[in-house]
Amino acid sequence: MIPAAVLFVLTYVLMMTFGKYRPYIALVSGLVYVLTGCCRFRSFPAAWISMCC
Amino acid sequence: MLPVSELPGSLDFNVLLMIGGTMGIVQLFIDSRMPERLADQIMNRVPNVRWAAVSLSLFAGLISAFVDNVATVLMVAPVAVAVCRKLKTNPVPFIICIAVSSNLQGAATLVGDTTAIMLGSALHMSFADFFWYHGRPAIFFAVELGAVLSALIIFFLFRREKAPISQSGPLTEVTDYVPTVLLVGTIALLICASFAPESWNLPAETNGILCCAMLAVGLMTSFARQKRPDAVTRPLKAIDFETLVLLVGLFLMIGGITHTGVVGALAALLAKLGGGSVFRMYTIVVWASVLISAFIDNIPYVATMIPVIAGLAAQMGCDPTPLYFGLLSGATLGGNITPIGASANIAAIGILRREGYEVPNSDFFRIGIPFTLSAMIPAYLYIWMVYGI
Repeated sequence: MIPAAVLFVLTYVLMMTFGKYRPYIALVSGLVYVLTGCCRFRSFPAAWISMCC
Repeated sequence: MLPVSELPGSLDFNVLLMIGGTMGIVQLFIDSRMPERLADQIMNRVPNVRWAAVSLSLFAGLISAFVDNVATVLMVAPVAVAVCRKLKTNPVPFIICIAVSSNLQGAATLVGDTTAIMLGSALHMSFADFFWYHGRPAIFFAVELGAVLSALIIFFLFRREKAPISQSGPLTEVTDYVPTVLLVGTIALLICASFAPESWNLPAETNGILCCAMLAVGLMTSFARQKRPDAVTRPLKAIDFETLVLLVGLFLMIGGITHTGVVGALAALLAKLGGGSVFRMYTIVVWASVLISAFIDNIPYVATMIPVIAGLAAQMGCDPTPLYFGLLSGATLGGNITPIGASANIAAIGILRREGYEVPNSDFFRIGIPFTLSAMIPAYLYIWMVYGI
């Protein structure tokens, strides 16, 4: 939940700061949500740890 | 954070199709010069500058209930500029009044504004539901109540402008009546769709498909008449694809934060703030929406708040209708407080700048703040009295 919330707030801040690119910032952010959903974001840290060990 | 399986459910295709379809139809309508013709007819009927200001503002509001706010300002403002030039009077207050009136009426109907379309789609509201919802008079009347009182504010603001208006000359010639028929026809079809029986199982995207179908008819007739490629490409170019891209991104983001539980957590936090009181929650939603929309675009704000309010109402075990209507009216009207609060305001200031007029913030606040309060307070009371009690 926290990464999702952080990404959301960051996206809003970027949209307000760079109003001209707002649609593209939103689209990229949305795609990040989809890609992390595809790639099972939550298991990233566990996957990396098991790979290293 | 957003599984692919949840992707189709996150994207509201009805909203995207409605926005695309109506934008194209509106461009055809503008190109036909019917709005200028209607404005000329108004000018031929008003006795003085004061009444011209009120009439143009009300006319902009009427158009804006069906047409995008920015398009409305772009259509009506030049008429106001021409009138002010003839009368040698300052156009700044005229144009500001047109912009704020356009913003107000955007919440009156299903097709008045992107935020209205978003809310209507989320709640499966038909065109008719904006007038009569769950057996009670709906948000249209809240907006019109605000419009009447804010018209009195405009009347008072222009109290010294009593110079008579002479005959403006010949009426603008309308080049094509088909776009007007299409716009009226689109609204009629949306109304008819709202009466379709449940047993027909119409798809959720029905309204969007209707708007796009009417646009296709408009493009075909426009091409048949003009026999030029730009008869088709010009209305298509008028579709604000950046807004559509913004909405796709926002829908995906909101799908992500809903799936990960952020929306539920935010709703729980707001429920705590409300202290179990629906009235307190309604008040927070309305006036927070007014304040936030004064500084940020209302599309992302409303897109985010729709699922939050759904979660909030579920947590509090209350009817979400007053919260949704409060969100729409607050988010729509808040944009009238500051020059940057709404795209229509920015468009209006751009028109004035091209005419050589700079708009100090104080000039905007002098009109925007009383206009917003006179429209928002009655709407706030009306919605609570009809849906809250």
